[in-house]
Amino acid sequence: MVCHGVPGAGRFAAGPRLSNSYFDLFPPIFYPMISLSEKPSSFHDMKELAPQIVKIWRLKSGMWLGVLFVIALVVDVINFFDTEKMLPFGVLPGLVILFCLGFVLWIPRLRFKYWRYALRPTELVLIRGVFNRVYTIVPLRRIQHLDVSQDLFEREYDLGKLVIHTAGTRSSEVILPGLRLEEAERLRDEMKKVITDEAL
Amino acid sequence: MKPSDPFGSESRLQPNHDSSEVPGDTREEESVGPKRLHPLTLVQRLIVSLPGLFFILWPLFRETDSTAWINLIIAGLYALFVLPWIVVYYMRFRYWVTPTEMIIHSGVMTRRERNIPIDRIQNIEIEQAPLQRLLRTAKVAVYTAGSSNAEGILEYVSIDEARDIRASVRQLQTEIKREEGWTASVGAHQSMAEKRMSVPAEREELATEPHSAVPLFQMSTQRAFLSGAFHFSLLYIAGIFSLIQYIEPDPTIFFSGLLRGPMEPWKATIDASPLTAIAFGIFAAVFLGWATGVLLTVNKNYRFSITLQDKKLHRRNGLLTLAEGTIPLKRIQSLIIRTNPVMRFFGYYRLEVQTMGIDLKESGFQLAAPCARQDEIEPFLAAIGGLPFPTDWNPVSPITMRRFSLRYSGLVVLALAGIYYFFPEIFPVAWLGLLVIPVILRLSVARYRNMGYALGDKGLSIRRGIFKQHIWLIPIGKSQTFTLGANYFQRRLGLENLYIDTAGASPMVAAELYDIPAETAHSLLESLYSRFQRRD
Repeated sequence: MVCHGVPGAGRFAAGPRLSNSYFDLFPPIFYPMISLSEKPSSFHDMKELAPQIVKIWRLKSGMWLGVLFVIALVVDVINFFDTEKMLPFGVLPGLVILFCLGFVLWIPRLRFKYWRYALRPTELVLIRGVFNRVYTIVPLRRIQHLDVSQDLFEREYDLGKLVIHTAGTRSSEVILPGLRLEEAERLRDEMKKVITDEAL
Repeated sequence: MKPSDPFGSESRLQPNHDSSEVPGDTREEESVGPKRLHPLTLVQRLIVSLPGLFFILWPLFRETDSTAWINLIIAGLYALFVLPWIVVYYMRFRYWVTPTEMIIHSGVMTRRERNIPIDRIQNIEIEQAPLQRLLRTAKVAVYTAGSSNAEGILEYVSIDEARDIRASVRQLQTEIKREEGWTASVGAHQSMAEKRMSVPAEREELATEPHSAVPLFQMSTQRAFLSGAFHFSLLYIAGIFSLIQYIEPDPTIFFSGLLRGPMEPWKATIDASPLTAIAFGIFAAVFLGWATGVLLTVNKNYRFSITLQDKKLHRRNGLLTLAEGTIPLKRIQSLIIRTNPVMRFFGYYRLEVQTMGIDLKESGFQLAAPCARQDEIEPFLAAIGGLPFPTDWNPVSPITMRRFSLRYSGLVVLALAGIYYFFPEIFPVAWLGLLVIPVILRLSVARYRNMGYALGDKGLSIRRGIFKQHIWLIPIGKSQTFTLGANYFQRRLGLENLYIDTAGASPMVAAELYDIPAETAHSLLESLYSRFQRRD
């Protein structure tokens, strides 16, 4: 599939071409799963984030879910001698632990797997999302200003985050996380050059 | 413009003291390198943090409380964190103005480098509270387009420095403008400033020749009443409640007092049959709501008129309060046409313009025509150079009906299952909630029929809504970002959502098109984006 106007568009349109009538004939369970391997090459041409971001996401979500686990444990201990409780002892913290394993180990891995970005001459293109996959084109001339930021976790791994501000509402802040700091600064400088040179 | 490396230890930890602590530098020095805030910032931030400390220590001052020592410890911790934070924040903060941009480095825990291109700066405000006037310092707030919050805030610099920053940014902007003008005169390009949305207010071209006002839409008194008839207001409920409060604390006495004398037969009827009373009550409530709606709308829309003069829309309306407003055509982002079922039945629409301005007053949605027919809206749109009123709508995928009904029926079933498990005693009544499901199915059909898009030369039109219908007319040149999205289920079904962001768009009711077949979505995005690029 060749997309002239939109680089990278068509990453969802994978697998066999299905007409609407096909959809109407068969229940959804028979539709082919649209997987990454079937995606057009544009997805693979785009850049991945730095792999360390997985650890940072795990740390951050681990902290929150750790708090959740402690709360669940306290609730469980308080209700230990409660005879009319709905769940037996240990089920609630156990569920939280399972939840933790999913969110802390699995989800960051998937998030990393499906994150791609590419800086092209006139636009920045982003693909991201595990459950809800989103493809965004940010035209460079729409950029209002740029931030490079680094929090404590990111500083530990020498990563940074590029935040692109536009005048839009939902996309007033487009965040590109998990870049090596020098990569973030390089991207920023390149975008900056396009914005400021445009006038000349 | 040197490549900045503020996170590298050198530049951030060894600031150039020479340029930072002398207030009132010359402009040449200003654009050289990083500068610090005014040292009195420390004092001012300390003063600002004191009320918090006082609040924590309050029990100590009040009386001899046995637990007051805890507050002392909290106050100690507060001081232990806040004082170093003030110092470190000051140490970390750097700002400087280069010929092309304004750079601000800040943050204690999360460090941030912000680059604001000079020609994106819309406005610079200098604020001085009494304390700052006393210390001859000021807060500088730098605004760019699209957001009502200041993007760059310098708290605090000396007042001379603040004026210097503003002056130098303005001068740099005029220099950029001159260079653009030069390029245009050479004939390489048209002036880019024309096409860019971020043209600072100062650079806006004044209208060259004064045009006479062109009336675009006017409402007769009759039309004002008609527009009121389409509206419904519940404000009267608040009125009744406050009335009851003032007249008689006991509502039963109030109503029996009301139904007196000639109303006596009514009272007898109400006493005899409560059902009649309920029917009468509902009728009265609907009528009151309708009447209040008419009155409020007439008050607002009386003698509504909107004219076009000097590339600006001028609006006048109101009976008791006469309101006037001006909307420069340049600030208009997208146009929104709204209807409700009654208005649609009689062929009336409400036209709003979505604007983006420097301050909050200019941003948001402004009424352009409260109640207009399609043949009145069409010339309006043509006059302001907007998209035409779309007639041929392309449908989205019919699978959207199935998704909608499954989603909401699922929610109903889930809620009923919850009731069955937790409150089994009310389940015998609650299962009647299943009767909602046929309604959901009917709504899904209505939603599908009302959803559609139309791609024209000037941009994209999107229509959506079950009862209250929205039509967005999005000019392609005003789009900010382009987004396609699909969740897991949509990917399985080969569907995608399309969203084009515009400045000042409503985050609540977004101009998003749901469940388009993936292929169509891609070709739509492709043609939209190539049109957007061609405007370059």
